[in-house]
Amino acid sequence: MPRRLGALATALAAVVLAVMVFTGDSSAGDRGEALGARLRCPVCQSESVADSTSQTARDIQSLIDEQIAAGSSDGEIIDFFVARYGEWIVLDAPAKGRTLVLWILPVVAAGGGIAVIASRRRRGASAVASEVIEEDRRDLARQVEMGELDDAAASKLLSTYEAETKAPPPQPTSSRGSRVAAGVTVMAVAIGAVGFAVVRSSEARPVGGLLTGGIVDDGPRDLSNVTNEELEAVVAANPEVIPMRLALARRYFNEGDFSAALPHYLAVLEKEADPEALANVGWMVYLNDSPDTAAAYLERSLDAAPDYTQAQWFLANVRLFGLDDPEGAAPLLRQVLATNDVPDEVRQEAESMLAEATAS
Amino acid sequence: MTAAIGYSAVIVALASSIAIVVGSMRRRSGLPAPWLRWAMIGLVTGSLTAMVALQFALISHDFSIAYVADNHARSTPLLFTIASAWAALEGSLVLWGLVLAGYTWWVWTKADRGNPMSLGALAVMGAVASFFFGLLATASNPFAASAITPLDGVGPNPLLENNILMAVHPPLLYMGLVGLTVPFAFAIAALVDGTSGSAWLERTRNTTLVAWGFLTAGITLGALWSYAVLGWGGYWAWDPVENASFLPWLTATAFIHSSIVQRRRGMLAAWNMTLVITTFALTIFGTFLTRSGVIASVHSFTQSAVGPALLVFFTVVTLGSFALLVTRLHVVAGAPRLESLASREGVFLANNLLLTLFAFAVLMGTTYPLLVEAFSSDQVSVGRPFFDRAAVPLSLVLLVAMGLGPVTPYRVATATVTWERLRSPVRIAVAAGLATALLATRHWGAVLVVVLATFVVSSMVRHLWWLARRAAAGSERSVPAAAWRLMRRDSGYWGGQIAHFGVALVAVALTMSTVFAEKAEVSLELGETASFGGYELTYEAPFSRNEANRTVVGAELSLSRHGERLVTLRPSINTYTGRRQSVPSPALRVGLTEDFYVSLTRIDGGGISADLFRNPLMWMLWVGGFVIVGGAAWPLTVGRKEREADAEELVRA
Repeated sequence: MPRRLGALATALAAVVLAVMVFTGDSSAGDRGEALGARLRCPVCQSESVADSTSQTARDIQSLIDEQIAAGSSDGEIIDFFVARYGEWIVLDAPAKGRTLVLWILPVVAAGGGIAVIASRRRRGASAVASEVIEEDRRDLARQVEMGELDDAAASKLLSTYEAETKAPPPQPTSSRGSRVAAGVTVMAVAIGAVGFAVVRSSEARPVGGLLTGGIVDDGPRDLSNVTNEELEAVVAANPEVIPMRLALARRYFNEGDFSAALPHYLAVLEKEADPEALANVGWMVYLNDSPDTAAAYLERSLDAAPDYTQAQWFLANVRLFGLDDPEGAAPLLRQVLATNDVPDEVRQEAESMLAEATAS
Repeated sequence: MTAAIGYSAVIVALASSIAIVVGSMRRRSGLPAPWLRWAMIGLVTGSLTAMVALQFALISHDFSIAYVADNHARSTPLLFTIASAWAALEGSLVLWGLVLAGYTWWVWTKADRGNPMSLGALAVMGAVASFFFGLLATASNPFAASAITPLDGVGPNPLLENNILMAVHPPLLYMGLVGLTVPFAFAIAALVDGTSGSAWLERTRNTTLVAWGFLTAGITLGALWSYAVLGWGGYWAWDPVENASFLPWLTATAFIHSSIVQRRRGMLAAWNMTLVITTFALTIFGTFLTRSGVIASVHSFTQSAVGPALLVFFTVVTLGSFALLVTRLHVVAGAPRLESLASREGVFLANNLLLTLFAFAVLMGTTYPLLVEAFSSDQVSVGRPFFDRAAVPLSLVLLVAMGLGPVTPYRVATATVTWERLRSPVRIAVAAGLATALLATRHWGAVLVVVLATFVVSSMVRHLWWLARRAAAGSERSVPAAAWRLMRRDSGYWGGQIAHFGVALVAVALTMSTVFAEKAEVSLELGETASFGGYELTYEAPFSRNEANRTVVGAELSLSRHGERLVTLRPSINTYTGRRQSVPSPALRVGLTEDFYVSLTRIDGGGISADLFRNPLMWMLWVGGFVIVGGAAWPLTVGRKEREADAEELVRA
């Protein structure tokens, strides 16, 4: 029985293959990278930490790697980031809480679909268009000729089809009206819910996260009565909106909270060479005793915006006091003094500095 | 002047669309209004003139038009100037309108003038066109004037200006999405008319295939664009807007399969209506996601009042169509005729269930964060891990069905016949799996996909061989000649098999590139060498050049393997003057086994930082995509002459 033997050999080979695969190494590479793929990059648009090239994503990735090295479990690491950024940071929608529905519904839909298909089996004859029956007859003959069906099965099917040609045409069912009503109601409710959601989101959410809510743009908004925490949340949700981030960073900078301001300015600089961000980062770097780097930042700021008084003022300070370069400072101070809207205390200080610079 | 001409053209197209609706409504004579022809001409010339006017405005730097000022600069190269006609909302709607006019014209030329279904379909097409040209005339006027006429514009979005694929990918996608209006229009017409049967399917078969082929090509090129431009080494991110084009593709694919069952067996009539309505509704929903700016996405370039209009249209279409379907259900729906689940029909049902579930999961994953945020203002993320978890098992089962279905007999499949046909494919597939496990990898996913893809391909090849040998035995033809004739004669079936072959290639490429892709981040100083996965990469020299619209700063990197120099790669960072924005432009070496891909993240006096990727078998993904498109095109290449000659021969025999 060579046929039996062939089947046996195939089965044996399949078993060997299964054993090989199950004993093989199927780990998806690096554990840190796998975790990074499950977390959202907070400053990007729908990119994971593993995919993103942004500095923030790299920082998070190295935090992950540190925690792995310290022996934390996957769950602990994910929880650590959830505690910091909220549920939003997790990309893979866990089967609990708000995203449980996402797990249940497809399973329910699959079950429903299988049930419907299983129940749609033929129950006797029903009216069918004559050309379909004609096609069925031809097809049956062809199937018998090709050896797909034996004569007995074919003639049984043929008699069913004969019955179908004689079956009465379908009658409109009496419950049609209620069926229409039910169908339309369900659809209306579903669509109404979606519509409500979108309309609400477009009204009450002028600066909201994934939903831009920007169907109607109301222009710039008054941020004076928003707390730092609120603004922080908004910025986290809208990583791409640079003016918002700048506003937040400026607040921290003006409050003297440099450690909070710096990451936001750096996030801005990743996207574009904003003169204000460059100038303020330069100043913070200077206060941190790195006048060379500070001067580089401030010069870049002035490259981007040559008339930017704040950068001129900062750079003059850095050159005069940090780098001991009075010749470099003097022209900047003259530019500052030539500007109209300089606060008085700055003007006085600039004048005395100019005197000092030219004296030496 | 250009603006006046363009806007008038939009108005002409709008008026013509409304006239088409009125003129093709059923009249007592059963014939369309005699002036319907003029309305058709008005629609086509109007939409064409609008597009030409927009192109002319862009090319002639007419910055008095707001669209031109926002999306064009004097320095933009010509190719990207042409492409910027669809780079933003208003222009993309002009393209949409033009494509829709083209399909309406096609329906009109193919329609027999007294047929109520054709006329009804034209009315539906006219109504859809009225909506889009209405948008162009009001909320999204591409010819609106600038507040101040600037001397120069800011240029197109740098991401769109960075690669030629931008000129091709959206038009192809639109040819697909808009084309799906045609089967929808015929379905609605058949419902309104109260016709049962599959006449509407016969009439729309070719259009559906054309639209589906374009959609497939558009999605493939979209993935290629993402790979070649975005510099992240990947090609599919389950971004909401990628999903927006993928959703109608899934339901349209289900429809193409289930319409075969209806044409052949008279089953699934109501289900086909449901699928075609869903598909059209999903194209509108996708446009809403893409163009309303409702979600933050790489693609949501604009925000406008078009969003609410699209949402209302979506609601009307969905509610109206399904209400119509329910009222006509007694006409459309037949009694079940399924003889056995173990049959071709049974596998088709499984295919439809799988594709529908796939679409359902993707739709849920895409909209769920929106819904949660809209109702509770909490934020949740649904990203790649979720979509992969749904897509992987569904796709694996689909592959099994793809190997089984095409060789399973209709009505009843007996165990003997089925095993006879599957025996050798199963053996070949197991052998291929063993070879992979012994020689290449024992990763379960990779081995399983190789087994399944080999099963799909060997099953179709065996069937063709078997049929051809039977045919050749009865004639003087050789077996290959007989096979060719079979493929031409039964072009629908074999077109499908070609597409399945493409899907098998795509499945292997997707799996290998996901499982075996490697990534590294390196920083190099001038002259320094990094090694990565058997390659050595040396930073030879920086380069920079000023082009009209951008500054290109990049690095010359020489790539070698085992000491043998392969190629010089030139990745760069391009800064676009108009928008003060930098876009990385990756460089890659395409290879038979893998691509080597470099994307710069930093370049300055101190050196460079770059992301390096090794992506295996990427070519197979693009080739597979276009083999699928070829499968859709296959039946369309069999002309009437060939069919007639073939029929003649059959009669003579």
